Amino acid sequence: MRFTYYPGCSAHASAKEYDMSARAVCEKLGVELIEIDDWNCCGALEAENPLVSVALSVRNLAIAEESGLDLAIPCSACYFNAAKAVKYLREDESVQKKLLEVDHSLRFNDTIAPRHLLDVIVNEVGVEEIRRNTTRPLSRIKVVPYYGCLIGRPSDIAFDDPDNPRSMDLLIEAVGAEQPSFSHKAKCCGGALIMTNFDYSMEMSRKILEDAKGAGADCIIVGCPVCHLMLDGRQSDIEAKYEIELKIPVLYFTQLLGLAFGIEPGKLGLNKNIVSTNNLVSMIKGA
Amino acid sequence: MEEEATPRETMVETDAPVGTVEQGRVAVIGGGVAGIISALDLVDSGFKVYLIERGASIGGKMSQLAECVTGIMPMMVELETDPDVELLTLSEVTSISGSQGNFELEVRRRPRYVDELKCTGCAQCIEACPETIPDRFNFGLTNRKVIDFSHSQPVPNIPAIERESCPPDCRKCAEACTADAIKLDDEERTVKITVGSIILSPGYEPFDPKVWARYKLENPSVVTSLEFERMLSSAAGSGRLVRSDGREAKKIAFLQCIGSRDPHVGNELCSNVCCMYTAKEAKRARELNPDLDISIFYMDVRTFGRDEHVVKQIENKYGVKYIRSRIPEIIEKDGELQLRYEDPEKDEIVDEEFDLVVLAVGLLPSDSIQSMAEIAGVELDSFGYFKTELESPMDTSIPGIYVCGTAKGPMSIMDSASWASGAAARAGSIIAKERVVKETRPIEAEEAGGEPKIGVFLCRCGESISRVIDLESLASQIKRLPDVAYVDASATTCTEAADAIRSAVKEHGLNRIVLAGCTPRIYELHFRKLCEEIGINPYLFEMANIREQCAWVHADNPDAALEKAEELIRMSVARAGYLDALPVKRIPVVESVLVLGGGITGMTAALEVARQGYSACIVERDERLGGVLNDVGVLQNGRRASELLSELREEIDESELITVFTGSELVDLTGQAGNFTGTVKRPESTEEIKFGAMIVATGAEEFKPTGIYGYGERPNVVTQLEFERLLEEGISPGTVAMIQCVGAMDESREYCGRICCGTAVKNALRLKDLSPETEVYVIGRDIRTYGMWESIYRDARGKGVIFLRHDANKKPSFDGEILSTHDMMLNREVQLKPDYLVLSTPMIPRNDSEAVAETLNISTDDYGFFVEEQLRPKVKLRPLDSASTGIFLAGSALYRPRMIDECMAQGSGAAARALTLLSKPFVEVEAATSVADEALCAGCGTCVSVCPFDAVELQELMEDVNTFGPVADAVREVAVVSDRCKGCGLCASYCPSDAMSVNHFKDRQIFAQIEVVM
Amino acid sequence: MGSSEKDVTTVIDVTKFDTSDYKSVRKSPRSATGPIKAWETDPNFKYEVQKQPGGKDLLYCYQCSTCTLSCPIREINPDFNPRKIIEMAVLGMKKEILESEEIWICASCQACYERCPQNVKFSEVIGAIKQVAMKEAQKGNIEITSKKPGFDGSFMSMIERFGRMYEPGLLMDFLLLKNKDLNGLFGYMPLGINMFKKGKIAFFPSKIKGMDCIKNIFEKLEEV
Repeated sequence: MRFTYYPGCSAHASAKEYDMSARAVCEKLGVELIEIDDWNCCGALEAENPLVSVALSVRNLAIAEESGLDLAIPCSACYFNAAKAVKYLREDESVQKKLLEVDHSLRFNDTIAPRHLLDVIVNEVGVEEIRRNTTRPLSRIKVVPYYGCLIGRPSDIAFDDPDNPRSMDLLIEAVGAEQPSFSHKAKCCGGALIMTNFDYSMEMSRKILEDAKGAGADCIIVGCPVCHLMLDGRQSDIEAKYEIELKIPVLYFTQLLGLAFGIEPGKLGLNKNIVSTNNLVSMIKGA
Repeated sequence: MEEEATPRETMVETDAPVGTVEQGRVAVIGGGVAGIISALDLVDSGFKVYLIERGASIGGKMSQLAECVTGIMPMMVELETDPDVELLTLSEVTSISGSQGNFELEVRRRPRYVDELKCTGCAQCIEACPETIPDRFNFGLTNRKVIDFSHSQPVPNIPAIERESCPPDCRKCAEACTADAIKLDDEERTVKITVGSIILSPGYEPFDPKVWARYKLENPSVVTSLEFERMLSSAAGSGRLVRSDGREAKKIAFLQCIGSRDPHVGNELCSNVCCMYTAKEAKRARELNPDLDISIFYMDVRTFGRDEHVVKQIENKYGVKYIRSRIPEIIEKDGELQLRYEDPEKDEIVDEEFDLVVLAVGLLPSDSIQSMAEIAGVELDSFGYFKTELESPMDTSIPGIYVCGTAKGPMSIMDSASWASGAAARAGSIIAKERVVKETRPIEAEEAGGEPKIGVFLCRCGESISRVIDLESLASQIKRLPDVAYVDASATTCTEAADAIRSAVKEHGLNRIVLAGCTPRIYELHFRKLCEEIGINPYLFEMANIREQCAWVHADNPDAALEKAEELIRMSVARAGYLDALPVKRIPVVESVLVLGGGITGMTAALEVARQGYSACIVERDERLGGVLNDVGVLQNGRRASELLSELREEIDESELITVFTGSELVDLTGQAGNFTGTVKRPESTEEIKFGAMIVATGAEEFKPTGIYGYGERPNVVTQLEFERLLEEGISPGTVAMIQCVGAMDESREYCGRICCGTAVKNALRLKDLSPETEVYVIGRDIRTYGMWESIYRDARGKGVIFLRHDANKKPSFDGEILSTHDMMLNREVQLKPDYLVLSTPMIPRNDSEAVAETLNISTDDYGFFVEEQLRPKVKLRPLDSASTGIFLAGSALYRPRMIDECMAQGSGAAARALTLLSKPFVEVEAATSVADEALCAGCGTCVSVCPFDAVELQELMEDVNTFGPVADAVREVAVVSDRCKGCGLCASYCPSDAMSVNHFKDRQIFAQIEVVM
Repeated sequence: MGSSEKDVTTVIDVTKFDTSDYKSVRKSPRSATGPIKAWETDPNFKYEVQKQPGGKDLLYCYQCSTCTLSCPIREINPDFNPRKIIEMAVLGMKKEILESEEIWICASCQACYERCPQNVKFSEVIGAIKQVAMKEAQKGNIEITSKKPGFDGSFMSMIERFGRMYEPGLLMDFLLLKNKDLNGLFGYMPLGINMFKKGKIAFFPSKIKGMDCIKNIFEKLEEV
């Protein structure tokens, strides 16, 4: 199967390992990802005027639409903006008119759909295929899935259940890993406040990390670069502030899949995660 | 006499006319409470009904709830035995064509796999069946066999087979059946029926909260209100509420508005009944177990009428906490349930543990409404219910097709019953000329000659009696009693008992019948009718209550219960031996209705009566018709009230059957149902009017709160009705404030006016439309826009009307300039400077309501509203009947103020009820009334002074007196009992000369009962 | 219990934490106690918020508390009460809301949007309120003390210039230029070095070709 691909701003920088592992895993699964040309930033959560983020997303959607293929998006926030843009266009005809007044390239005909990469993997490729490709079952490790806010919410835009999302749960099961109970799976990490009210973000992420640790997880998997930055990049700050020890690796779900498929860690960017993944990889390899 | 097979199938297949006029027919689609009541009202007024139900039994949701089934059973049984009713169960309508007066329906009848004519209801097939499946009629909570009854007392009492679940090649049921009634190769059939009008009553569906994972429904501590009902039933003996995991629940939380008032989940409307049923469930729970700690989490409390008392009672007496907070999530923490809520009184967020959470789920349109609408071609409204108009609340978009019950919108059982009668009136008006009333022979006082030959019939009552009392043993004891000629202990239901009685009377020549079963309050009338049918005087029938008075209360001691049952029956048998055959007097019915009150309700009632060919006389106190509606500007749907009124007035003027007396009052009433005489004082004269039935629709009036908030002193303080007038004149003030509950819900008047929030919201919306710049504030403790009215509350908020809530104890204050209220939700005081202060006051009974009640001999409540017949369960199912036979109640005068659609539905409903009387050529008077023995009467007049019904008076009696010499004429006074007597017995107990006695309750009959157990 | 998963969280009790750190609220709407005088409020404010994209359903709120009870920020700072913000907006308490710190600490987690029974979509409504705040601040009518609008502005300016995010540029613009926060900048050093070592920092911005379109978007839509 073929999809257009929107890497998002973090793909070549702070979330490089996500992009690397996504491409590696999709190659293995026979999913062709065609990066759209000259894509722009989606506006993330900083565009307070929703019309601006709609316009920015529509530019990307219009580019993707030319190929006639659905647009796979790895980042939850980018996906949220794209799906929200489609919703705005569908619900109000004047929005499309207004966008055309802004720029002639902002025309989207609703012939393709933006899809979160996780959605593509679970619902298009399918769990059976994941199982089939798992050459190295991860039965020695315990994994908890952290969805963050935008994979399940709001339900008129997101693709999974708002209270109890299960798409990554199914992946963890498919790769044979153990999955302890984790009540913070869909609680907010505070990523949107990372630069302005970091104290809130730290508190919110601390709860998530401690829940995972307390549940006995060997790693957390995520599907969003913002969540990843909070839980991985800033984990040591949280440890310092609260005087606790966490040392729990945070992987992108594509990195986990890649490990299960037997792809070498280097190709999955596992050396790029801030919290070291070496122990985890050793556990998996059985060393 | 040969017993013919009951003509169940034949009526459908042939079109042979009955009598000279082909009897009008109505199809009622949906056999729940609304369908059942419509059907009954129609057959009681001379029409035939096809009651089409998709399940295997009629009864709807009420029969699924243990508490309700006893209430509706007698009606279901009546329908089963009435020859004018064709019950088409397991049936669905697949097409409707034609137009009013002549609809043709195609009905697909699914196979029952059991022959309805041959089945005896013995249940051997069920015992033989090897396979069990979850019972979807019991919400999947229990199991049933593949062949089974749909619930414990179904109508018809015939099992059905879920054929897809049959094990392959199994024939065990057929082999076990002794009546050759199993038809394993039964097939679907389509039948065609022709009717004059159609009533749609498919009911509702409860909301399923499983869509929300955050309510943790898989946890045994979380249940829906329906499941909680079942827990309450199971707890009846022990008082312990047990969860499905075996743990006892001590701390309970009720969450309101689950699936209601929630456009996000697809239901914008308030479900109308949840606040009420939650209060009742909480009360029942607390009564069962005084140790329970109960909290109710709500947004607005919408209880009215009797149910408000329940709220007050549980709050004050039982300590139930009402906390205003919607709870969006149930948290599982360390194996316990935790609720997080915001308590506005404390202005903080609280985490609290509970061991049982009950979700008060709402009512949604039935899943069959969509397809039914397509088949019938009727429109649906934007909420998914059949579309009706405010001023024609039973009419769908197709003339001749009517709707009632929860298919019209979420409503309570009482309201469904009113609407059902209303729909019966509407449906009947189409076929009014095709009314056929059956001839019945008069009941004479013929003695059944010779010694009493008493037949005693024991009913198992499903299992509720046989579970406790060993009926076989009881039967053998009863056989030995004197005068008992026959004992039968086989019946499990009323219908079976009736069949047993019918055959035994013939076979054994019985002349007296004792039925030991449930309470006579429900079934005595039914069995008396049966006696009439089989030729036994109905007063030779006696019931012994071995259910409510024995099996139910002595469930823990079967031996004692058996002993008591034997004694109770012994008493009844003794009494039966002394019973007299009483003649039943027939009074010819005067074919006209007196409608007291010419407001919207009265006008509707009169028109409905006239449409069916009977005359009506409206007696109105004011100079013109219209009542309160004369003062209303615009209705909730935007139509001008005056326009609606002129339309109705015109129709009344044009009708030859309606007489109108304005400026008139009813000052006296004599006679009884079928033959009343009313004295009407008109402006120029006083007249006596004869009529057969009366509809009381005297309405209510707006309370004027003189002195409160400066009303009466300050010109800018007005009531809602006065504000409507201002809106008519055209105003555009800067700020308008409305205060709710002025003169209601407090020490002055504890009831809720019910319609005042809806009226305030209507006026607020209108004001915003006329003058968008005006700032409108509505200040209240709750906003009680119930049912479909929730949508105008949402519209009002959307337009910028500001709603401020205050705590019940912190009422707003006004000093003439500044209005000050404590906003509970911000926990801060808000001050306004309103240009107009509008006071929402409740409607109160008219100042002469007590006088009217006395004249008519009906009851009022503490406030002066009339109350309907109090006898349970009829109070819910016959909400328009007063305690006086022949007098019906409707509209705002009845118990609580009503919205216009409710008034009109009740007006039509009362007309239907009146017509069940008027359509018969005569009324039979209850024979168990007092009688005076002239010879013994001393003319002291004690009976006259104690009689509460004015039913006895002293009359002069000419006599020959022997004076030991010449015979002289003498006159003395003796007591004479009139037809108003209700047989209460006061006169008989007071009479110093033993001259007064009550038929059917003579001394010798009562003494016989007592002596036989001493 | 039906589920096979048993909850084994060992979460530290938040109440033991000193949350005064988080009360970065100087002008909390909640802290005022005097009566709200309707004649001193701005009844037009609610319509103004409605007109902003995202704000249109604000008025449907019926104060049920669902949003407040679902909000993770409120769990940390009880002064942040979405329901009360709506009520105050409806009552026209314009200045109090626009000058409060609270409206800037929404984490956009969408829990309120998801659960609101009346579809008020508070996460979008607060976005609308923020837009009004930024407009008013630009006009000089109010003073915003929160740093969030500044951050948002810096973020959007990167997109305006390059069409894509340029993190070093963002940090420079926000921390140095706007806030003169050298400490903050240095605080990022450890993480920055780590990221750099792993090749996760883009030194130079990559400008897209379709900048004309971006220019149009910002000129015609972004009014701030």
